[in-house]
This record gives sequence, C-alpha cells and structure tokens, in this order.
Amino acid sequence: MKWLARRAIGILLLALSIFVATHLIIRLIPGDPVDVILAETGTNIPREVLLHDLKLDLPLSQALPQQIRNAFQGDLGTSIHYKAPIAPLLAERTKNSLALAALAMGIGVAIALTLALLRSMEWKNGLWIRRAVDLYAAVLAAAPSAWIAPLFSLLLCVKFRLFPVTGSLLLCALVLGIAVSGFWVRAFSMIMTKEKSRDHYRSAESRGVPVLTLLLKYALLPAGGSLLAFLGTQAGWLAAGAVVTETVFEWPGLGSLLIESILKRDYPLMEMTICVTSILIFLGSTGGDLLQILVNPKLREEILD
Amino acid sequence: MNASRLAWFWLAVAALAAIASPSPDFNLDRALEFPRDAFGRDLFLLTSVAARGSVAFALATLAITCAVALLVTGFLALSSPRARELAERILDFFMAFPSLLIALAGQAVMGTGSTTLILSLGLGLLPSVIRFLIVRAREVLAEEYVSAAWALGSGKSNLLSRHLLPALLEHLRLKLPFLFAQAIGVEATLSFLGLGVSPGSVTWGALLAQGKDYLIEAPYISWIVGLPLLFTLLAFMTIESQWGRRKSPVS
Repeated sequence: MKWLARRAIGILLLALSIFVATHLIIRLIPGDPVDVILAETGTNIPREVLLHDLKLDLPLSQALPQQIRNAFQGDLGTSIHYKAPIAPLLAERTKNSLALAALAMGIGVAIALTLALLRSMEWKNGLWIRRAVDLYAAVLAAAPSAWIAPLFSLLLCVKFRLFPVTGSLLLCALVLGIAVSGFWVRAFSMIMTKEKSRDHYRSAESRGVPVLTLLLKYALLPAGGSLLAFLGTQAGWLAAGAVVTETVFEWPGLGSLLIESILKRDYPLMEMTICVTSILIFLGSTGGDLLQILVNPKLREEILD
Repeated sequence: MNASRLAWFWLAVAALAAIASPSPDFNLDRALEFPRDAFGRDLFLLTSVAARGSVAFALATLAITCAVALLVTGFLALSSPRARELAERILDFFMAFPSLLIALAGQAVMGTGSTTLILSLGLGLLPSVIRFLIVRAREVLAEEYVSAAWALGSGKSNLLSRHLLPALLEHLRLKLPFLFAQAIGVEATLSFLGLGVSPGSVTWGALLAQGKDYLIEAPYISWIVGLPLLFTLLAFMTIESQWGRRKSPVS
C-alpha cells in the first residue's frame, strides 16, 4: 500500500510538472506571440484581451500560481480560436480520443495476436507463413501513417463505400490499429518465441498438449505480464499515430485538436492539449507497469506487502 | 543476406535518381494528367527531387543530433553517478514519447519552417540516441582496460578520446540506418500535417499531402510518391537489422 501511495504521489507531481512545463511554452516562443497571432490569423480581438487570454499581462511568478489554482477549480483558460472555455472542449476531445485509442488497441492486439500465433504454429509450409507474417510486420512498421491512411480512405470509402469519408470512429480505429500492428506483431512473436524455449513449454509439448492450448496456455499466458507492460509503453505510439489518422479522417480527438491549435496559433488551447496528451501517455505507460505487477502474483506479493 | 543486398541496391538506384534528376517544369495546362501533379510537374522527377530534399533534411538532422548526443553522453559518462542517474530518469520520462510527438511539440513552439524543422527533428531523436549511447558508455567504463588506463593515471580527456569516443562512434554507426529512417519518416509526417517545411518546398511529406488532397482525382500521386518512400524506409530498416545481427566483432 505504501508503494502504491508513493507511486500515486509521484504521478501527481509529474502531472503538475507537465502542467507547469507546458505553460512555459508561450514564453519560449520567439518573438511576441500576440504579434504572431494578430499577423497570422487576422483576428480583430483587441491586444489587451489577447494578452489576458495568453496570461502575458502578469509576470510569470503571478501568472503560474493563478493558473494552477484555476486548473484545480476546473478552469483551464479560454481558447482564442473557439472563443470558449478550454476545459469542456478538452473533456469532449479526450473522451473521443480514449474511445479511438481503446478500439484501435483492441484491433491492433487482435491482429498482432492472430499473426503471432499463426507464425508460432508448426505448419507444413511454416517457412512461407513465417515469411508472409514477417513481411507484413516489416512493411507496416516502416510505412508512415501519413501514407497508409489516405490509401485506406481511398479503398474503403471511395472504392467500396463501406464508411463515410470523415468522422467514422470505426474506420479511424481500424487504420490506426493496422498501422501500429506491424510493430506489435514483431514484439509479440519475439515474446512468444522466448517463452517457447522455456522448460514448462517444452515439457507440455512433450506431454502431447494440443497445439492451440499449448500456445495459448503455455506460451501466451505466462508472457501476459510482459505483453501488458509492452502495450503500456505503446501509448505514445498510439497517440503519434492518432495525430495523423484523426487529421486524415477528421475524427474530433486530441490529435486533430493539437494540429488545429498549432495551425490556428491558439496558444492557450495548444498548451493544454499538449499537457493533457502528455499526461495520458505517461498514465498509459505507468498503467502498463501496474497491470504487469497486478497480474503477476510473485511481483504483487513483493510490492503490496 | 538477400534482403539486405536488395536494400542496398534500392538505395543505390534511389540515390542515383535523386542526384541526376533535374527539377521538373511547371505546366499548369496539364495538371493532374497521369504522371503529373497539381502544378503539371512530372511526378517521377518530382519524387526524385523530393528524395533529395528529404535526405538533406535527414542528414542535417543526424549530424546535429549525433554531435550533441555524443557530447552529452561523454559529459554524463564522466560526471558524478548522481547526476548521471538524474539524467537517466529524465531521459526515461522522455522515452515514453515517440520522436514524432517531441518534434511536433518543437514545431509548435518554434514555428514551422526549414531551420526549425531540422532542430525539431533533432530534438525528437535526441532522447533515444542519448539513452542508447549512455548504456554503451556504462559498459565501456566498466571494462577492465578502462580501469587500467584510469589506474595508470590517464586523464578524463584521454579516457574520453582514446576509449569512450571510439566505442560510442562504433555503437552509433550501427544505429544510423534506423535513425535515418526515423528522420525521413518524421519529416514526411510533419510536412504532411502542414507543420514541416515552408510551403512550396519539395519534400516527401509535402508531396504526400498533395496526394491526400487530390486522392479522388489523382490517386496515382499517393502511389508514385509513397512507394519509393516505403521502399527507402524498408531498406534502411533491413540494413539496420542485418547490422544488428552481425554486430561489431569487438564488443
């Protein structure tokens, strides 16, 4: 329990430092941000209002504590482009992004597991199956989502008309899941191969356990903890892929919001989007570690006592 | 063995094409006729020119990144263990973020454009490179010949230049193809999103963005631009995994 409390305090402190760090961005921007906004967006908002929205009307020593206080009260500032409070907007976008990430992760894991299992079975033409799976993994690990996302939209929306061109969660998740699956197939196969050379697997194999049970129960299950931890570290990659797929398929999540806020020079919104995204990624990787500990009785006892 | 020979062959062909291709002329009357882009330029020539641009970005980025990473690693390796541990914890945190996201944040802060793009790309790659080098530095410093040199009274600069730097350089060389692929891929993505090179520049990402804009009218743009990019990235990754398997005979 003490360990958990320490961990929770660590996460809170880190979230706070991310918040502070992202709020320094505006002061790092070369030149006068107000000039940049006025010149590049042609907005007619008066200078004083912009200065206030950017919290540049106060010195940093006063602005930062005020922002932290406001954040605890649920006020994350005002978006310049949307002319609306940031908190509700971010909440909506975060919900959409989490839905996308969950679905994409499900699809990616399903593909990666299937292919990794296929690759591990002792087929008659095993070499060709292994080569095909490896090719799939290599091509998708190399192909940038900026290229495959438009191609999928051409194939599935224009040629076969299965999905609407924009705003489809399923399509967006499908492409994101496929995009990340390339690397996952390789990682899953590696973990399975390692597990297959261990004694418990070999003894089960020689007892004549059926091949599917053998792979699922004696290779996959013991590796479950490492797989969960691995998936946690992939939170960042999911977010990076989501930036591209959300933009291409116009899914209103954090990724498209980030790009939009950068292009529209909406600095307050940009800062908070970066802040929330970083915290989510960090929570993802920490969550993977925690899950690994929870599913492994040995580690659990060691730490929770 | 076969795959890596194919990879080298592709890289050689691509390099030749990129060096030899002249910039294609604008011809607005023939825009979006097969193999021409929205400005009527020949796409095959354009892709070769784009490869030149993207590779130039990648080279500039890698030069800066490697130099900075070597400096930082050398400095950290010879500083106190506590400082090193602190630095490693910070690096661990940044490892959760892929280079694309770090570069994206860099562009957000510094603004879009060619110079800032190189800096952002470098910033994106830096944590993983330093992390990769620092592990090796720790290994080298634990070697007996290094302790022997230390005991014989060689100074820090001597240790750095005679023992640490050569080992780190060799280690870095193995990682170069992967870093190259990363730099090209991240540049393509950022420019695709409109956050990379200044408008009008010809790089892979800028052309991919055009391919997306004219996806229905001219789907061939995506293919002519995207396939060479895919082959190039695949080639670098193939070479990287082959070098990884072979590893250096010394270590």
